[in-house]
Amino acid sequence: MMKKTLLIPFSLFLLLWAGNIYAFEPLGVPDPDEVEFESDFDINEKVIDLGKTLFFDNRLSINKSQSCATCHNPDLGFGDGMAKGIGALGGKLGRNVPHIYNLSWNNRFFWDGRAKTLEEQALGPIQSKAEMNMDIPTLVRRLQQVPAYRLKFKKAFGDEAITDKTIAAALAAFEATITVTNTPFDQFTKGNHAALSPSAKRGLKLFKKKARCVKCHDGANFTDVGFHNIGVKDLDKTADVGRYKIDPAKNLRGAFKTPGLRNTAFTAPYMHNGSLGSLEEVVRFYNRGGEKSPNKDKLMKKLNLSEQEIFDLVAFLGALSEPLNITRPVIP
Amino acid sequence: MKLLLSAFFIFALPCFAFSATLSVTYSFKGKAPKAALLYFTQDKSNKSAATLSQNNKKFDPLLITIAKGKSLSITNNDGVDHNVFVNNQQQGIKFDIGLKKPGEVAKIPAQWPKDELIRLSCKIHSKMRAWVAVLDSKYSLVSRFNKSTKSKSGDYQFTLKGIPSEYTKIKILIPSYQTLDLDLTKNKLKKFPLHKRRKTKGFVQIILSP
Repeated sequence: MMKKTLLIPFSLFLLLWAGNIYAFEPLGVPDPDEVEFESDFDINEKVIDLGKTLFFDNRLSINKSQSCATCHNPDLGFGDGMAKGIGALGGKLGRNVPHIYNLSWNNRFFWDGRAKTLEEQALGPIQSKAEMNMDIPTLVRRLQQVPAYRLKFKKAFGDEAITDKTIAAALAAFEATITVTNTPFDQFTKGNHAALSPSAKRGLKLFKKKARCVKCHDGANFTDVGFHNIGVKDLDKTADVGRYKIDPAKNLRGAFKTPGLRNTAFTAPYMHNGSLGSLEEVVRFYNRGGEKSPNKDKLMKKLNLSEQEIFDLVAFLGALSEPLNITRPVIP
Repeated sequence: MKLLLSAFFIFALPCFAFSATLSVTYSFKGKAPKAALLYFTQDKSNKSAATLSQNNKKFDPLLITIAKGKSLSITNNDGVDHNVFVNNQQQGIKFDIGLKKPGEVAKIPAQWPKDELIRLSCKIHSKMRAWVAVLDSKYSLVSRFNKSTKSKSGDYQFTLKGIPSEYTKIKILIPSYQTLDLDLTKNKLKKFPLHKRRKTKGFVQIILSP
């Protein structure tokens, strides 16, 4: 029989061990006080309205063929529904279009986290040769030629001119309004136990324990805004090194940012290369512990989920949905 | 009798000397920063090492002070791997402790510039951050700005007691904000603007009471 003197430290060890295994930032409703987004400008309705108009305006691409909303289509979960996007000049992009839900709680943007602010992110695709291929001086001139834009910028920013900074601030301000905070899961969290189906409730338990999803998809937005190599195979042999290109630390080779899961049901296909077409495929991918990869995160393990458990997890992911009705603006 | 008087002076005098209390109220326009550090610059008695924990993908505490050259001990108390790094060219600080498994401890000597906030981050979890300040002073006040410290009127109130009465000079460091160097007058409530990127983002009201 174990002596009392041994039993107490052993129990304490067990408690700490169990605590650590499932330690994660609590899931819950996103807190407006916790947002990372902070503008140098005073953000008001006029700035947001201007940002929305710019977001949908094809003038932002070199040949006026694409707006931000071409790839971040609100009707397709702010994605484009394709494995990999297509640039303004018709070229195929390197990665899947990431969704833009609840970005105001983020501090790293793009799959490789190369932008640190929403403003920096907003200007990235506009200037990217592969994407909208637009240089800022040309864009500024284009916008200045439109009287309605001159007026909108004046109303939004007062004496500030139309510049890269005001364009970025307006786009970021609009993007920061794309928030998902009232899903069935949120209603359940607030005490409405009928908001989740029995299957989704089982899925939530699996999400937190057996399926180990919270190891990375934790916090109110279901992301640690971290970088992990989960063993996703690049089908076209491009061997995308992901975060490693930005920060050449050994463990970051092939690592990509953990996407938030709010409205994930609308954002197919999945993974940085869009290689998985449905949430069921995603759960099955995790169930087998991902594909082989020399630098795969140790967190990736076979899960041994049953068929029922796979469907329960998909049901839970579906309960993170809140369709947003984005009315398209009139482009001046 | 002489012995008693001597003992009285030896033990009672420091009690009289350590008598001031600082009351500070921060208010912000819009989003508040995570934390602020206020300290009395005349003091040179800090000899403390410091301990940080990585727990639930957060550093705890968020802001910490340490004496120059003392050891900063960082423990990964999480169930996942973590990292700690600083890469700040302006401050001339660059280090990376690599990947640390759950339970591992890293010890780093605080050979960094004094009187600055040094931001520590984790390469894997980008929202993890903490600030460390190398100080000579042990009279410091770390203020956290969150729901639990917010008053009903929307500001944040803190006090620091037991300050040597001769100390009046303070410095306030807030991440991304302009540093404030102030010389206080006892019993006089003063209000100072807090600037971030040349814009007034808040105010601090301070009174030093004997």
